[in-house]
Amino acid sequence: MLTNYIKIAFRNLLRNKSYAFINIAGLSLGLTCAMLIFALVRYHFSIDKHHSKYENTYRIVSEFVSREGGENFHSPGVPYPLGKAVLTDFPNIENLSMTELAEDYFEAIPSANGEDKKFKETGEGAFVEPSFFKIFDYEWIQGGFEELKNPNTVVISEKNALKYFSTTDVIGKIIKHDGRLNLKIVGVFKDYKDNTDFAYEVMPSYASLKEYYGSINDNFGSTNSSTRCVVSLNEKFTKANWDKLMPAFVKKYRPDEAKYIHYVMQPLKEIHFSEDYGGINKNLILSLFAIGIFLIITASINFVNLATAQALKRSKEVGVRKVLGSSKAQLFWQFMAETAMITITSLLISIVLFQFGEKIAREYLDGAFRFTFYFDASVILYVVLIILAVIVLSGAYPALVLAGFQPVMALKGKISTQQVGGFSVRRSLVVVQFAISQMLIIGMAVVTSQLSYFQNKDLGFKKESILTISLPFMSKQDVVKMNTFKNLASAVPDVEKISFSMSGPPQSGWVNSTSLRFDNRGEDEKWSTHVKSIDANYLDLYGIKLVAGRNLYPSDSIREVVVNEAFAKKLNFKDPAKIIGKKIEARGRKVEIVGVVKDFHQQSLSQTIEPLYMTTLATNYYSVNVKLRSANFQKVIKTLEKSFNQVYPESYFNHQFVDEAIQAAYQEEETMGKLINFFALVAILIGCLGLYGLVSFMAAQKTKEIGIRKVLGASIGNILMMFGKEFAQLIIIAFVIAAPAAWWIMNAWLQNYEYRISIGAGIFLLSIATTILIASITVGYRSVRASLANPVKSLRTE
Amino acid sequence: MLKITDLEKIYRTEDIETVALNKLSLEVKKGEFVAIMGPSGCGKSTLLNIIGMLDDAEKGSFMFNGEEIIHFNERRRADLRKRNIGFVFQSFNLIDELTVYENVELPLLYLGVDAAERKQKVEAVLEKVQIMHRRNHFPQQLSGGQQQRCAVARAVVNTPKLILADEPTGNLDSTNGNEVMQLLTELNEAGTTVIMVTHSEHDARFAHRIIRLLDGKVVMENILG
Repeated sequence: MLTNYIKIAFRNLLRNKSYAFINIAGLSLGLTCAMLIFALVRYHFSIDKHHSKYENTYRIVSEFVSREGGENFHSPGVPYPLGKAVLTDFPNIENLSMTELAEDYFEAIPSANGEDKKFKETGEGAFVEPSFFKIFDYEWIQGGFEELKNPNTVVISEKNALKYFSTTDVIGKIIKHDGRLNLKIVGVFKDYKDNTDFAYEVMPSYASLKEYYGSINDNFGSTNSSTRCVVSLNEKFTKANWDKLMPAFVKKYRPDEAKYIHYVMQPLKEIHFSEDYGGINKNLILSLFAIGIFLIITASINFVNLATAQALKRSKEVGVRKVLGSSKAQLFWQFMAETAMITITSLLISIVLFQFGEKIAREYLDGAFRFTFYFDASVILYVVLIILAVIVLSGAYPALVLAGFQPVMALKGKISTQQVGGFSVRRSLVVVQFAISQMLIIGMAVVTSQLSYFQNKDLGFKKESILTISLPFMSKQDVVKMNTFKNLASAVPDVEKISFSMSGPPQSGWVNSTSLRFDNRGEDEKWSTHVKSIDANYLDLYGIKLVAGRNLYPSDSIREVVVNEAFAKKLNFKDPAKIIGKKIEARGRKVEIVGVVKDFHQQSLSQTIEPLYMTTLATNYYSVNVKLRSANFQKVIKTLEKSFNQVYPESYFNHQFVDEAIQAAYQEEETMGKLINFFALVAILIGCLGLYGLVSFMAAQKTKEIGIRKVLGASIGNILMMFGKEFAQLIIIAFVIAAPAAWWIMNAWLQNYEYRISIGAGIFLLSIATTILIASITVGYRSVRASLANPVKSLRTE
Repeated sequence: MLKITDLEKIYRTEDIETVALNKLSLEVKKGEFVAIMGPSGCGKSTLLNIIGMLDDAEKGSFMFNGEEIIHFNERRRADLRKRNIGFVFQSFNLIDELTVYENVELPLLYLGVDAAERKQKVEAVLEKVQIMHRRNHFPQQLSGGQQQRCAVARAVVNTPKLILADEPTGNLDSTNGNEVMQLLTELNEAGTTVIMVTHSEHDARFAHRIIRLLDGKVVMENILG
């Protein structure tokens, strides 16, 4: 019997090729996208779960309570001495490891000819204590972690061992971290799975940190977001113990600020989605998941619409089968089997498409959303669930309709529109599809406009043709070498201007924030200010305008400061000129405010412009800013690299264009935009396929009506209006549902950005116009064909 | 075989009632060949549908093989139907997506007959109606006469006790029509009861008895020699 069903299903599909194509194409597309989205979502929800102490691992983070009653400030970092203090006071903590993040580093491998081979690392590394490996699970290929208690030791990943030495047999070999810290390899670990937030390729011992930095700020007063602390707990000391004892701990080590600082134990399972501490926005991931479900729904709706539209053609078969003794249940399962066949065919196609999709997605997402597809039992479960859902969602209704045909009526071809599910069912389904499409179009339009706003917004400084080069990282920059490099670089004909600064361009990921004592006031202000170390050429090179006073005089030490308008405003100076001549305390020295610059965006547009002062301090410069004249950047960069290597032979030439770096800050938004655009297009495409099917159904239904109307004198235009009116109504109903929903969602999204577009009527007009255009194109062909049909023919078939 | 007493069937729409069968009574004995005749709208097809258990009546009694089935639900009727009744239609009603062989095999599938027995039965009946050579063709590739022979084969493959034929020659020329009538006669002679609705006096003469209907009632019965 089953073979009979399959046979007839297969022959039916062959016979109705366009029906089969629409269904299978739509469903395969929907399934592929849903599986891709699932892979991404699953990845983000599986972060670090593979560690055996997943449930008992915590990160200690810092929360600074705002003194002005505003938002609290969060940092994933802790003060350097915290680890030791915690272990001394709470010896029952199972394991604790301090870690110091290393980003933007390189490893130099000494070679026989005396010249180092340099490997720039794009991933993260971290200085860790041996207990790190008692908290997290690692497999060792060579050596182990025990020797990490000593300074100048390191463990590296298998991948990196192969990269540096082409072998994993590397115990005892030396690598130079950032070209200057000698490290002996004491262990090689098996490459970790990349669904981790602790993806460290190179892990020098924490004991090496002092030598690396030269000196360490060994007090509780400063918190660097790269200095972190992870612990694993057991029943001897639990999170509840910590929560109870922490306030006293803070009071002991920071008596003055006990009220304003909390050290929070953050469970490992919350780290990945903790936005406050630099985690991923969970809503973003969930929105994608919702889009995935939308795609499945859209594809299933097609199925229902097309299958019921096909039902009329199948009525004779149903009649015959009933006459020959088929029960209703047998017919129901027969049609369910057909749906299952189409769905499973689509699944097989989408598994193939998924392979390509995964590759494309990886390139397309630029790593902004990391994801690796780990295949295991849960994937099969998920796929089976989707398939069952699709089969039930899309198969049950048409199957019930078909199986319910009265045999006598079915045989005579007298099944009416009502019996194949009143047109209203299909109508509401199409409204749902239109609503989904319009919501996605509105989402697309809002994200795109916000992105172009990011790109075109005047940031208050110039960013074109400016290159930044990183200076080697050391506790005090060598001013003599710096000037040597400056002289060499200035001699390059295409270099127009050159300037030093601490953190590169005016807008960068680096924020240095400090408390402030203004004028002769007896205590610090309740707010903190941003600080930038720049030289005297900086304002000119970046085109930052002065609104009062003058630029800084050249100096290698702190001599005077310029502030921004926000700084003056925060201190209630309405006229910025009035603040000139006032003094502030900067790094323990009282210096004068000599100028006020126009506000510029020192952080991404998701942040407001904070108060800022800028001062000269040559030992604190870590970036060279170079304004280029020529269009042949590559040649200039080569020349600059040569000069750089001459001055800093042990270092690595690390350069970036300012406009590209700023662009990169919006990578998450851009990826979000790309994803929404892509999935929205897929949803619209699937919707179009369904619409085409539906209008075919209508055309078939109305053949007789159209025939009669034409005999009575209706023009082709009249007939087209018949179809047009129908769909225009559906689009408008869908718009009424979609517009407020989309407005609400997208407005909530925009709240993430301090500087944002407002959603105007234009976006809504665009969405409805687009929908009408797409619908007309889809519906047009079919309805024109129906209206052109010869009435004599269509009437004779009755 | 079957006995119908005071059967009533009324079609209702919102404001019109059409009486299709008006207290109709009828008895058909095992082994009979009965022709039902009458003008369009006299209730012939309705009667045939009720006898075929495809439709139900409002009132009256319908005894089939000594069992009252008027109140049977759809499932029980379907079950009774597939074991006892074979259908032949004017428009053949073969399933276009299935071959001749598969069409004929269908009733056996619904009866749950095993594969070997199915093969033997289908081949035997195809042989009998002389379309064995076209067993792998689809209905559209056959002539009208061949299609109807296939339909007859399908109707008798599970050796039903009763064959219902609804204008079996209506779409055929006289040569093919005679062949089909010949087939029905042979089946009847082999013991199967046949009830046939027809417009053709010529075809009706193959029957033992002609029942004439008008306005949902039996108005005349002719017993043929």
